[in-house]
Amino acid sequence: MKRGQIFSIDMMLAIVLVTIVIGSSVYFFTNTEEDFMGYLQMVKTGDDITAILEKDGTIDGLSSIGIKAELNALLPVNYEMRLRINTTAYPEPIIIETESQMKDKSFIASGKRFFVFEHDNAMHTGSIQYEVWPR
Amino acid sequence: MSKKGIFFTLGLGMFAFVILSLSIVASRHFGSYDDRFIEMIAFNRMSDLDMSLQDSIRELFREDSGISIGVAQSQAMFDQHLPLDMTELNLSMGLFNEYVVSNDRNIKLNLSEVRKSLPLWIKPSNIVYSQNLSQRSITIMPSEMNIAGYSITVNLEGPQNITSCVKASAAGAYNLSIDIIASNGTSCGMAWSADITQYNNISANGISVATISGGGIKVSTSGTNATVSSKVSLQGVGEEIPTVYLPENIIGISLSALELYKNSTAKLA
Repeated sequence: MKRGQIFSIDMMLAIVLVTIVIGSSVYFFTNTEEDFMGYLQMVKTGDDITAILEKDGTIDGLSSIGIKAELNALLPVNYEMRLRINTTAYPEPIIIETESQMKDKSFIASGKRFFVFEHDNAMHTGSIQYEVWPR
Repeated sequence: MSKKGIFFTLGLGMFAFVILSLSIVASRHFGSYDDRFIEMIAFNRMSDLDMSLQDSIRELFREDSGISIGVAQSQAMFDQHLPLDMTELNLSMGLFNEYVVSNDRNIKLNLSEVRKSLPLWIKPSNIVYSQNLSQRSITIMPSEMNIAGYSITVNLEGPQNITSCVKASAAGAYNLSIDIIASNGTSCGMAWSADITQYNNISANGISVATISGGGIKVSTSGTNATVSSKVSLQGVGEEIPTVYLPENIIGISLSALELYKNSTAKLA
């Protein structure tokens, strides 16, 4: 084999090696960033939905059926969600969930909101704890 | 030939060093990205929690304070009953405080000042509209002379007629308009260019509206019930619409494990 041919093969090998290293690095970082943004999106989705349920008065009625119907209408199809609503109006919490089983090892976004509402001609305080996870 | 070998080895060594350095940088970057992500999620949760507390306090104020607030270009308006009954607000704020603090140990609400004198801050001018329950009065007090004028209208709830009318005025460059109106339409008042740093006063039927030192104004009653509409005209804010807040730092959230702290207040108008 001539020296020129060896040089060419060596150069090609080097290019392939560099491409593999750079390519896998880019792939690795892009995927990581997408995951993080997805998780953040889940947190924001949870808070936005609880905020809407509170602002449009759905929560005030404290009707599990009404809250679940509105939750199903608002929740993006790729997520599941659980709400735990505690209020000074009722001693027992209201639990509403689109799916009772959480996926193993999946990221679960959670958060809390406080709210006030009028019930039986009196102002009451409540809190909504939410958990969102991928379907 | 031996020199070529040295250059080749050096080149290969440098290439390996660059790859190694990039790996270290990438590894550190990934580590800090992870930490930043946790902080970002925590900060988002903290911010959402804070917003919900602000909304709740604002809602309680609107429902139970008995004060309505309006803002317009370089003006802030307040309507309320005098004397103000703060029983409902104190009760609901107290219950809210108790509920929130018992449900989340990361939150502290400092509502004592609100429950005592309900100071409302007009920003950016830093003018305080507050109550003195024992003196049955309202005070509007600027922190500096950035007031263009006041317009105070007091509608008496009991007396049909104005039975007494006392006026004292000091001429100056500020717009001052004071009217005390009885239920039959008779009134005691005047509008003039006043020196609000001096003593100005209109009194009728147990209601007194007087300027106080520092450019403030005080509306007080010795017993007569009334509805008071106050308009504060601001100076030096251009066409800006002012905002009205409760006192600063009434909401405190701390996530000490992440060293994240947030203090805020509720915007009312």
